[in-house]
Amino acid sequence: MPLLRLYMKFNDVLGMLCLIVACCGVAFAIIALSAAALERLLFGFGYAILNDLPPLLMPWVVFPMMGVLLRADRHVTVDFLPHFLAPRGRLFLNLLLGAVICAAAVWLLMGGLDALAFFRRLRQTTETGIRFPLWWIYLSFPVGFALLAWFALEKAITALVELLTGTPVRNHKDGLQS
Amino acid sequence: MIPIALAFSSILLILSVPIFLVFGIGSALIASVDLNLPWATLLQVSFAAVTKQILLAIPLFIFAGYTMVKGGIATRLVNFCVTLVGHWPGGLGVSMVLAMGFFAAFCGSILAAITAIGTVLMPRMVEEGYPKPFVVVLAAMAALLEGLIPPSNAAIIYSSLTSVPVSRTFAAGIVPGIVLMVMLSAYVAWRCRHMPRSARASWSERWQSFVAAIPALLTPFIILGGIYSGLLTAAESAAAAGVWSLLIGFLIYRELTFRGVIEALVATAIACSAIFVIIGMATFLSVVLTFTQAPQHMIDFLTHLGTGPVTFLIMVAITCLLLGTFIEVVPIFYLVLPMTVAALAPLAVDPIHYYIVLTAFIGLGMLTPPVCVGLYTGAAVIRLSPEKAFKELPGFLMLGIAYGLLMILLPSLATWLPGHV
Amino acid sequence: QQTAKLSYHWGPTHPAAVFANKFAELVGERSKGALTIQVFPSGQLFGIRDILGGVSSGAVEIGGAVGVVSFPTLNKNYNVTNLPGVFESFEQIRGFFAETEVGKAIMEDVTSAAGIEIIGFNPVGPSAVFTTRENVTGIEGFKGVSARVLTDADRPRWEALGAGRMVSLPTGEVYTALQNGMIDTVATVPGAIKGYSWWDFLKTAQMPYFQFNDAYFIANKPWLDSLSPELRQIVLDAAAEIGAEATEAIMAESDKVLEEFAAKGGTVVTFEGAELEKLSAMERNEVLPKMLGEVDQDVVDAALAYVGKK
Ligand code: NA
Ligand code: NA
Repeated sequence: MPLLRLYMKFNDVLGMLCLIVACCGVAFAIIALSAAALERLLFGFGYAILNDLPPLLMPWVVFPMMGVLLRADRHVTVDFLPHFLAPRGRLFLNLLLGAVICAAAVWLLMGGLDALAFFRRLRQTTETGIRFPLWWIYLSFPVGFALLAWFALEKAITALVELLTGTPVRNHKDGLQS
Repeated sequence: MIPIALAFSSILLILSVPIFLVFGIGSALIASVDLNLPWATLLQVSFAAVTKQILLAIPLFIFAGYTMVKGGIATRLVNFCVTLVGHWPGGLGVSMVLAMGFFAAFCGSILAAITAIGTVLMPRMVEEGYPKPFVVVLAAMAALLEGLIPPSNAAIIYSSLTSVPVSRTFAAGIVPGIVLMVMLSAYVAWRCRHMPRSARASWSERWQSFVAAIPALLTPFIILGGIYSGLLTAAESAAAAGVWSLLIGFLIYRELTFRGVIEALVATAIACSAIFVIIGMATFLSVVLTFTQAPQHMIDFLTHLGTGPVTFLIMVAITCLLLGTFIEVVPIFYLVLPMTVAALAPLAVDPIHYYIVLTAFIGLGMLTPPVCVGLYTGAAVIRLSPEKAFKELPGFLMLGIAYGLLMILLPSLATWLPGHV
Repeated sequence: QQTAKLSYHWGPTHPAAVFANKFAELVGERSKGALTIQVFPSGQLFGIRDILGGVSSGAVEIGGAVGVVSFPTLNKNYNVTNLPGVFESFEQIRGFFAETEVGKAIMEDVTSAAGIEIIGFNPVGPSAVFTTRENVTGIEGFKGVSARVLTDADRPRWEALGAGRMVSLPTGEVYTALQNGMIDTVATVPGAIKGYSWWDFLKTAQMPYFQFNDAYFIANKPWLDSLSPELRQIVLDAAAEIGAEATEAIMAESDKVLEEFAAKGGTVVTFEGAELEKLSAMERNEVLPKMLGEVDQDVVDAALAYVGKK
């Protein structure tokens, strides 16, 4: 069990990291766009980078959060079946779900890596003030799918452990303040 | 492959696999097996959708909303509304509608609206004897205003999927929003005519509550004024709303804390990712739809049937209601719009009118179980088990459908104001 | 019996869309149905920024790509076409890329990186400056304008003209921005002021054209190489023919739009003599130096040499 606890602690940290990245992205967007508006009112230069960079960073805000959303169970599913299941049935469902989502995410990850290789070959760059390769942004897709697979695996493992031992692994508070 | 992918997606949906993944897997299967498309195409189109400048307004308006939740704005707003109409029949209920209407003009988050106004007003209503289920459904229904009254995520998403400028979709929601407020207030007043009424507030009380609410009430003028005067783009006005709500919270009401800002940021990051992953994966579906030319087939079918605009809108409305039962607001936009938007011109439906009809019927999905985020959130505020609230649904749903039909039959309610700004 | 997909972002009334459709029809006719080209207009499949990736990855076989949007993301030196006061026609631009070593190297770099082949031209049109101000007769008339910028490369020109503010706006927002006064001046092709109804607010067009925006029929190279020699020749011939027709038509069409603009009450001001000299001097001395960062010096020199301005 200490191993399991360590594993889940690690996942907590990982989830927190994704959340911090997302928060930084949102905070940057607020600051950049407010600055853009203010700068334009005062001086009129209208730096395109303040307007164009925040949306370009959205994939990094969003895709790494897929796994976190799955963990937090944030109204992203049709919660229909769980209502009809006994606690043990729900554990079975979670095990199945974790496995299915993990498999799906791995498949998407392979697709994402395939696409990433294409975009690296294409070597397109951005058009904003600072030029950087577009694949830096496309990287957020495979990273997101990998994290999703990883957290889905956790869901399956915890469900399995609970089924085998009969005791709850954690109080399902998943490290997110609501 | 298409029937297999559909069946597979339905199974995933029932198993409660996250909706974004259901979209992603089902569409990617068809794209890679049937259409033989490279993965790069799916990612490229998804990337283009997620990085649209205009969509950035969504997280920014959500942040403004959550900052207001933390910053003490809701209390002032509710006090102001209660001193204004609290003595009417069903006065607290009407105050809820009014306060939700105001709050809807501040931000782009339905859940923030329910949480903010609900936390202040719902316990008070229960205390005064309003039945809990009624209170919950009213809060969820009033949140429909959030989608209509600008700024709204529905308008932003609609604009990003069509070529209608966001300033026009924003303007389109104002009159229909007010109509909904009137209809809801009338329904509440009639339903609660036997309830004990609050004492009429004196003019000095009203004045005081008004003065306290002024900084909050200025917000819509900053947002819409910024956009319509040409000083701010939509995304910038969203950022300005966030900065303004920080200023009010820290400097004027002094209830906002640094911790509160961080919590608002976290709530925003989660809410916005939940919306954007759906956008990102729903575009997989739109790739499939375009490559199979499904929308074109549907338009040919409609023209073949000789469908007129009203029939078309009613068909779409029924589809939205059915989908809304099981699916959330944002994915329905991404399912329905790409399929139908090309039919608007041949059928002579004004895109602005279509926007209002869609928003009205998709918004009702917030109420219909089992997937009804609005109702769950409202129930959570007063710790009622959501199932208990279901018995109040038929009345409100009927009202909502009547409202939607009104929007179908009277296009000028939607199109009049955008033609004048 | 083969089919290929052709994707472009232009709306149905845009001249470039009309010629793209003509090209698809011509290929179908000449191949007697052996090669059918299915057209996906209006950015249904790929938007203006995505078409390069779409053709490159093979999702669609042919695309309509606007040079200044697609190519600088692969080789910044394509921006040489944007330099003020260098090229004065589409022929010059195409000649530079076809005939000079430097020009050929840029195109070779772009096409080999993306795995595409340029099979024909389908120009977007020449650009002029349009403003909601009336009676602009000299460059002083632009002092303090609020200008729309599409890319950073637009900036030096507006700065030199003394713009009061510059706003980075997507095309969909321009109409409202002109309406509410967020911007009052745009540099664009005449087709756009008509197509997007921007001429509801614009009052003055400033000529001569200062930029020539070329667009291309680009094809996925592996696909093109997989065609039988006969089919391949049919595709290339059709693209070349339509390209020639499109180029001639776009200049006539642009002039026609300006006439319609004038008939609607707009003014077309063509700078001449001393005013034109002032404008050229501004381009040479203020705009060009600031844009040099976007393009390598040897490319600038080669371009100036090619048009005989060195
Ligand atoms: Na709103
Ligand atoms: Na529902």
